[in-house]
Amino acid sequence: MSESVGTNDASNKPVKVNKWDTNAVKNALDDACKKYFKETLNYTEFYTLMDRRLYISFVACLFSLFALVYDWLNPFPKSRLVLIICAAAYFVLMGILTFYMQFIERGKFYTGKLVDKAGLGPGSRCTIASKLKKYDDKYCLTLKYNEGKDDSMTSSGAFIRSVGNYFDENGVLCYNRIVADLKTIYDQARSNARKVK
Amino acid sequence: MHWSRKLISRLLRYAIVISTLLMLWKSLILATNCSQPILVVLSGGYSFHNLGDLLFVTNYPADSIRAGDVVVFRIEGRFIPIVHRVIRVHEREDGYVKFLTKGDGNSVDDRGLYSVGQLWLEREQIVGKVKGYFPYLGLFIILLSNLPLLDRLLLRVVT
Repeated sequence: MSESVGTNDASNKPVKVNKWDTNAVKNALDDACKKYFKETLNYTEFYTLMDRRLYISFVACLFSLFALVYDWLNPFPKSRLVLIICAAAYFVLMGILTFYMQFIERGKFYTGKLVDKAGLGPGSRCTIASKLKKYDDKYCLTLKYNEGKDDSMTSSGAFIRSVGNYFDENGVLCYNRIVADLKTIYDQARSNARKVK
Repeated sequence: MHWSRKLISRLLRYAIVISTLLMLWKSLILATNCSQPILVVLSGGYSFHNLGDLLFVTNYPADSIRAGDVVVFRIEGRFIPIVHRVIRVHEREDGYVKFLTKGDGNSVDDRGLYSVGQLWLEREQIVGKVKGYFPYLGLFIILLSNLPLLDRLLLRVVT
């Protein structure tokens, strides 16, 4: 995966990616969204979703490491039972991980919370998910907005636009454009949520 | 996102790839009941196998080893297993078996290769029976094993 020339939070260096690399393009767009939420809207990011995925992977790797070490110390016929248990556990965990990534995580790359500045009302929560197919140019961004104690006010917004709208010929990201689109659906979702109330 | 989370995420991604390959290999070991299910022939001339052939070995207990079978066996104290043909089998009524092997290209049997005083191979010394082979594929492994550090790793995994 190629790395984009990083933007420090302080500086405003333009982000340049290999425009033909789908992964890099998606990451650049996702990072721009995160940046907008962090800096402009002052949301704090929550990593629970990602952390759970990391924990599952970590436990799976522990099993495989244990199998490796045990088999090294007690060559095959002796380590048979341990190998069976570890291999079974590992593949089960891989299944769980795939299930988690496919159905629970589902392209969500940002979960943020906004605490009400006045400290009066409950804060709002926002989850953004994005999808960009491998050789496709259509970037689908979905935003889910929750406000209120039990997510009493919820609404979502989405847009599907070509990545060509956000990058110039050299692969430099036009931050303002993605932020403009993001802002539109965010404001829309916010006002919809309030209307439902 | 904190840099440590990014780093852990990346490391875990690589670790998962390596772990999956490792666990697939261990599963193959379990499936074939053999500690070395895939072997690379390091020296040519025995049992019609040439240098660089990839051998597929299984070790099912119900699969009896008969004279004429090509087996992989390991002598005590030697690290690299040998692939030769079984030419004689002695079986006792209680199920105890012992074997004599000989390389096809050799004019004498393997007694000279066995440990001092050993005249027959025990069943435990036999790693498995060769079920099939794939020519030339192992040449890449042999090339890699010529690199100074990799050969230690490879000899352990695929001898």
